[in-house]
Amino acid sequence: MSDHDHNPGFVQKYIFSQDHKIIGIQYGLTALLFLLLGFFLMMVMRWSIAYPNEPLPEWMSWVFTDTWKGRWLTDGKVTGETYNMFGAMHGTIMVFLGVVPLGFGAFGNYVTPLQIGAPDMAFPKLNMMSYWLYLVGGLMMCGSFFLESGAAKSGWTNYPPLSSIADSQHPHQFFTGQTQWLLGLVMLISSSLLGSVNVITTIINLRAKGLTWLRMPFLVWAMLVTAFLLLLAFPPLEVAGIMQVVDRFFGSSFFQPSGLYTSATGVVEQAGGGSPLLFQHLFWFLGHPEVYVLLLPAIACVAEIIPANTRKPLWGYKSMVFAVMVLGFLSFIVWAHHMYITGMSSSISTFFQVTTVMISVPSVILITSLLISLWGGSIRFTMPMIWACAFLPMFGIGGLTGLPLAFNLVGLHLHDTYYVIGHFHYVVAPGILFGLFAGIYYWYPKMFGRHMNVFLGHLHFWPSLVAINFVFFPMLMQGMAGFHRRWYNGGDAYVVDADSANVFGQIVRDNIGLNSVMSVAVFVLAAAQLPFIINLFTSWFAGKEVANDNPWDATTLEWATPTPPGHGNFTTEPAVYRGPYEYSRPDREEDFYPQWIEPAKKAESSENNDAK
Amino acid sequence: MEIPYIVNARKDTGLNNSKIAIWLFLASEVMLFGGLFSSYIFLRIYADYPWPERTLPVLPGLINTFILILSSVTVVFAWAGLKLRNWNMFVANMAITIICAAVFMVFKAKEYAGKFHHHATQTEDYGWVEGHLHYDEGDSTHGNAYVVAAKEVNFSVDSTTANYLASIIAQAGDKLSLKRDYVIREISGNTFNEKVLFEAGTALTPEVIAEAKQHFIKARTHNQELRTQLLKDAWVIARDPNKHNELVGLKDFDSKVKNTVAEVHTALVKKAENNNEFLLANGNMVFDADGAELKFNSGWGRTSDAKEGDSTNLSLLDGTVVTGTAGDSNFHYRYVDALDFRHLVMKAEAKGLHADDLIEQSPILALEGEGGDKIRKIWKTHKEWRKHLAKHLEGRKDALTGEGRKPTEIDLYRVTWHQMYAYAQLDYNITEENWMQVKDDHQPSMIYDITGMTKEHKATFPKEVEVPREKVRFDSVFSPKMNNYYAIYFTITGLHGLHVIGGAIVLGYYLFFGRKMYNSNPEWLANRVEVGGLFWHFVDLVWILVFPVFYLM
Amino acid sequence: MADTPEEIKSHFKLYFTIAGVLFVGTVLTVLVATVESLDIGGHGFDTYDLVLGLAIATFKMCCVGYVFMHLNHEKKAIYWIFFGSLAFAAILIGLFGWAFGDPIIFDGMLPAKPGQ
Repeated sequence: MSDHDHNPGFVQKYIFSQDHKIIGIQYGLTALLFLLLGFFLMMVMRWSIAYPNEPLPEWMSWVFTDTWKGRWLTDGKVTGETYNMFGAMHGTIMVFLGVVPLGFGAFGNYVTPLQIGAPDMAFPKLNMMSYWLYLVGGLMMCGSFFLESGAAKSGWTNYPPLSSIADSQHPHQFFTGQTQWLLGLVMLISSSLLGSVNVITTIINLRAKGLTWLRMPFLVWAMLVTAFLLLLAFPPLEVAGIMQVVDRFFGSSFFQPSGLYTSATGVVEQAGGGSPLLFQHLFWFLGHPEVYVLLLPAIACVAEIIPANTRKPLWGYKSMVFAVMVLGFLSFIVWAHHMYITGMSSSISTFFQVTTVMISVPSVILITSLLISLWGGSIRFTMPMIWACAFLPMFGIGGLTGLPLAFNLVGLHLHDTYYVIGHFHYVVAPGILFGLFAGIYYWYPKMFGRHMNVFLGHLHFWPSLVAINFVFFPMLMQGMAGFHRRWYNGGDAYVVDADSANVFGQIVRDNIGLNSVMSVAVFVLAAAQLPFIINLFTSWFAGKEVANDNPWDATTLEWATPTPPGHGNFTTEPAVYRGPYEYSRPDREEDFYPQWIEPAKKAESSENNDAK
Repeated sequence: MEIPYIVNARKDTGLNNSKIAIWLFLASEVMLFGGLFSSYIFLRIYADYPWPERTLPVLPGLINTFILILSSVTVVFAWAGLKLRNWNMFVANMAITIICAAVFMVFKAKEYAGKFHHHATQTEDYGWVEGHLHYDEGDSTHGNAYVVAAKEVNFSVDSTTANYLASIIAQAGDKLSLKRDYVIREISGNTFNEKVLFEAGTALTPEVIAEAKQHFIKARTHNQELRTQLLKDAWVIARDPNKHNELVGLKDFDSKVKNTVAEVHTALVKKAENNNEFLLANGNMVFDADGAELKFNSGWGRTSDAKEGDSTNLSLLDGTVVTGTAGDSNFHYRYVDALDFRHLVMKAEAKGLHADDLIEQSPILALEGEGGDKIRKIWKTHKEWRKHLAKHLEGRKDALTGEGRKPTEIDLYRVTWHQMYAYAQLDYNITEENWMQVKDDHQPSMIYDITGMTKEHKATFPKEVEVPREKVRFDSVFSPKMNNYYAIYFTITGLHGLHVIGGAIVLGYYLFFGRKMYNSNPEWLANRVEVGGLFWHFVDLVWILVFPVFYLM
Repeated sequence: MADTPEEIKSHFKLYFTIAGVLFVGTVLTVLVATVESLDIGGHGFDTYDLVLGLAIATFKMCCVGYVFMHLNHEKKAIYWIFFGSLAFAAILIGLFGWAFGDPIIFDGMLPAKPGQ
């Protein structure tokens, strides 16, 4: 009952593909490119932070045209406006165009149908549309760098009234960075919504015979919860985006308070009566579930890699399943911990404080289960395992630094400081990204039939691990000392001479030296990614070939397919007979018992039990 | 292997794929419209201006509600037709559904169009007049224009927009001439040459601006490159212990280091300037305008609040600045069809001032001409009328509180066109006997919603009313700009309308192209129509909520 | 789905009835809002009118949902999905309301120092 022919041409097979595996790889490659772009933006920002009075060096600025430099740099130095633009786009690109598409779009698409024994996603055409909406939205956002107004420049959080006023003094509002950001966001949200509908339907309805809910690999549970988060949390942000577009195009005042005055316009000619806080609530209603959307695919990858590389079942599988569902629900009622200083009363901010502290419990359950899974295992330090093991303490630091931020009283002191930046980057960069890298190294052999080079893998891993801690740990220190976020000169404007009585200036002076430490670490981190980029390409045609379809001797269904899996994935209809992590069973000779292996014919009673 | 459960249900879940998918999608739509309605709630509760209750004509909304309910019923019967394998039943009912969708959108379009042509102006004291502006056919400013008798026009060459420039040239091209020589310094070979690119008196053309822009950008690029290099040199010099040993050992953020670098850089820049190493091309070009009258859409920029005849300047969004004498930028109302002082009253009460006194001092009641006279007469009549209303309501005890009822703010301070017409019918003489012939605005009249405003009605409105721009605080058509009520109304109904269109397209696809699928697999078509129908019902659900909330509350 | 042709035919009467209910409900909403003698509570729009209007609208929406959208005999998964989303929407509105409605009030006076 299919409506596609079985001899598609190159374009239909690789470009406008409806196959979840190709789409997954498309998502992955596109996301990695966007991550690289976001990284570069950050490098320019870090130059400005560490060396604010020095012009951008040639090795960084060669990328820009001279005309662009004449417009956006002053004497070669990064201006505040340029810094803000890069900062806003760095956040946007990393979160919406990088990590989510890589975690959910790439791994969700590629691995989920394979792990549940499905021939493809439930709606292949919709899947294709999701990818192209993502690409178009991303290109719209990044294309705006070349507009006269430049790209969006009001933070990735895009708070009004600043974000409504920014770029408002341009005749053609459609061609401004702020507007393109909003329109691109609408595309991205639509892409995510279609993607999540697809994933949830697939998981509910296309599971193989015998794959009951509690026999699903943890990755599938994580993708299910992630999809629900995207489905239910994104629409309010879409509402906020639409309302801001109406503010920009039609001059409405959804988010404009009365009596606004700017130097460019004098009294702003708008009706007023709007609420900037409304935007913040709508934004963070998504914003908080969004961080779990970032996290869960990474935990999913780690949860698959650890059992396969310890030859032990995942410890606490049922608790992890329960925890991830509770986490998903709780993530909807914690958002205002991003808004502690907006003037909410102590009762409601205490409510959010309580739920935020509560949500650390399921997170801890997840990490602890993964950690305990290592205990007593026969650990094989393959490249994926090394990344997965690094994920645990790095994410641990990130999570623990989040605990103080949960408290409204502490939030008053730490809000908008570098401590927050340190916290969330620890979670995302050495945390989530390491988990996703682990996934890439783990499933690469299934995708391309070759292992990634181990030596290059080590060259990627060790400098990254060391450098990344030198990038983000000092931020925690600077933040507690009082350094603000989004200082384009790294605090240079506040430094006072050693004999000044200005206390704040002295504190800034004492800690500003850390800026160059961090920036140098960033340049080392940049260099450490080169082996990875090389590895991705060279392994494709020169990597060590896999010995068989299941090179890691794993137990989940994706390893029952040919390498790479063809159209329809499985050569025979798969059936599942046991749980997903049957490693080192005492009654088996081999140390793993894959889900799909039919049990040997035993006495009549047990044969019937195994059927469902 | 093909994808299972596209048509048939899976045994344990009891569902096919599309059913799950559409309900998931509807779940996200619940969150979408939930977010919109929550915005509505909070924008309304915390509005700092009087919320326009019941200002929309009810009848179009009511008809649209009936239409959507009908289409909801027919889409169910269309699905039933497929399940019963009755092709004609399917076609007939689906056709009605789609026709209903089309009629719905027609009514919606007419509602919107009516609003976009209806104008409102708020004076400095927060009073409002509403009506229709007087403007010539083909006038793209729609009556809301800044008029300046220009002395000078200053173009910012790198941001001048083509359509703004074209408008200026079209209006006064022959009067605009370059004020001073436009001198550039450029590189040819190894030498810097100064030359006059355009002489004083050059006429304004797009090519002139474009060429100046080219040179400006080239100059800016070159100069920035030079300054960047000089800054790099300055750092090298500053770090040289032979030249600046007092800086040895200091970290770069010390003010001493920074100041030294800045000094060295300034010196190097000055040297280069004296050496004529910098290119020259002014970012601005000033043109004499010789008093040419320029008229701009007010959305194109902002102006100082000058009275007609005073000097003023007008800054357009593309950086162009027009200096000159303010022309007639007033609002010329062909007729005024509503007066509204509620916002004024709200502000007065917040300050503890007496609202009625302030109303009497409003510029609206001081407008000149016959139109102004009529406004004053109408307002006087209205004050008389509302006294009778208040007395009448006082006598009718409220069932729940036991107290007398009070007139609403709308009754007291808003005069609608129904009332203007009624007052004229009563010859502006309200008595105990005839006051009840005037309907208060609380009761929208279906009759008026059907007939609309006729010539007979308009004859009684204040005509040719001129509101001076310097007395105006805010102005808008009835668009999202007007206030957040209209903004959220247009946003929600607009988004809903897009869903109606989308749903109609999908259902139409099944109507026009479904025959083939019906012949090969009718159950599959039935499933798809069911799924489309579910979406359609959701769209109806939203409208069932929209109608009372926006039209009746 | 219990949707055999016979079952569907037996539902026709119900569909027509609900259609009638919806039309009547709409007319009722308008009457309650516009006719003076039916205006309970105070003159003009007040809380009573709000509650009544929303109640009628909710009832109509439930009719459409239960009958036309087959929610009266749907599967468990669908109930979870749809009513779950309603719950989350309610949480959104509720918590927004609490946040807006309960701000910090600072009356301009610092708290008295001890001994003052």
